Amino acid sequence: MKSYLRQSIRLACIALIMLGAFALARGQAASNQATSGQVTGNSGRLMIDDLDRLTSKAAESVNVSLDERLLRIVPKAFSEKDPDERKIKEIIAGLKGVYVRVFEFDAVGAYSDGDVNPIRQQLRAPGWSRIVEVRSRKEDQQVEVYIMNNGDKVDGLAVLAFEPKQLVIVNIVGTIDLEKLSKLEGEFGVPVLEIERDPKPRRK
Amino acid sequence: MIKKLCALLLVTALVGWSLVSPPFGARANTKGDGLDFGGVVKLIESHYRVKGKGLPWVARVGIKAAQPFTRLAGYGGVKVVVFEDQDFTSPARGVDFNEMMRGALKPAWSALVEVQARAANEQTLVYYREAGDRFKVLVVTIGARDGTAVQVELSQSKMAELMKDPNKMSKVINEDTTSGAEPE
Repeated sequence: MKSYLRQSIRLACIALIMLGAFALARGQAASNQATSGQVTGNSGRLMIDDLDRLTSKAAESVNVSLDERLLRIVPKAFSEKDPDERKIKEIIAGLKGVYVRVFEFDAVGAYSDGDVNPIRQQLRAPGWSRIVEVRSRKEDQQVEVYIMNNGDKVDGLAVLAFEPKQLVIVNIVGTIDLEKLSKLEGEFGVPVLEIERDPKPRRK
Repeated sequence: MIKKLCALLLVTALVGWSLVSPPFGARANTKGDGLDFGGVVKLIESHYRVKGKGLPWVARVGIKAAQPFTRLAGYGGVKVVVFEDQDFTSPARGVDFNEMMRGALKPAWSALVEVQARAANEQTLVYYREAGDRFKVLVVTIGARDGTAVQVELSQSKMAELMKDPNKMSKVINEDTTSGAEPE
């Protein structure tokens, strides 16, 4: 009987270990699924949450996240009669997300390339390409604009704007025409970046 | 001996079930329950060691009546708690309030706007969740001495209108729901 009990205990232990391993594997799978759904599920979407650590260094920070659920209802606020509003409605129709991070710092050098490199690294992935013939009319502002191409379509856009005391990251997911980007400046939390096509385009 | 064996198997089964099934909190989240308004207020109170006061229902009706009709169109289910003349400058250490809120409100609520002005000791957090064909919006505004927590239900058109300028959304909602009212 004793050996029977010992065997039962051993079996119970094995069962517990197996259940534990199963639970861990399930948890890991759920976590992976959540992550992939958030990042790779939306083509053109960048992971910019890492920038949140700059919040503690920044004098002021703004984080705006408009996902597809919200963008679906936005057209209700714009009139069909007004030509400008109609254009904005058309732009929004192709969007799946607008994500904005703005950081303003008290001192120069409060943020470094290291803070932005994880984003640049994502922008080196296949599909993303930098548009070189873009500049900012703002003094002291350097702008990098990237687009995510999917065949003939543009599936995403990223704007990195640097000033000595300011960092702006804008990620627009969905079909967007660069010419129309300026229409979104000042709307939906997208700051006015004063981006324009360089009249003398350079080849990269 | 058989009783002991049965008890052992029962314990094994219970422990196994607890390992495989998600914890109670997580189960509540998967249903989309998230943290309710009262929970958010408690979170603010415990993190900053402050005490909020709710606006009486009558006062809220009074606010509604006093506001121009156009500004109120689309609002509903207003819940307001104000924190007056309290000290928000010494929060609980080791945890960032914003991160804590995000964690507690996930996955039912999504962050829409987060603004932090360190010098002014101000932060504004706006979260939303869908509620049928309407939206529930939660606005938490914290300054050095005062704070408010507001939850409103918005029609889609009101939500769309406020989203034109998300940075001003919290200000508009706060003004429309709290201006002119005295806390309980």
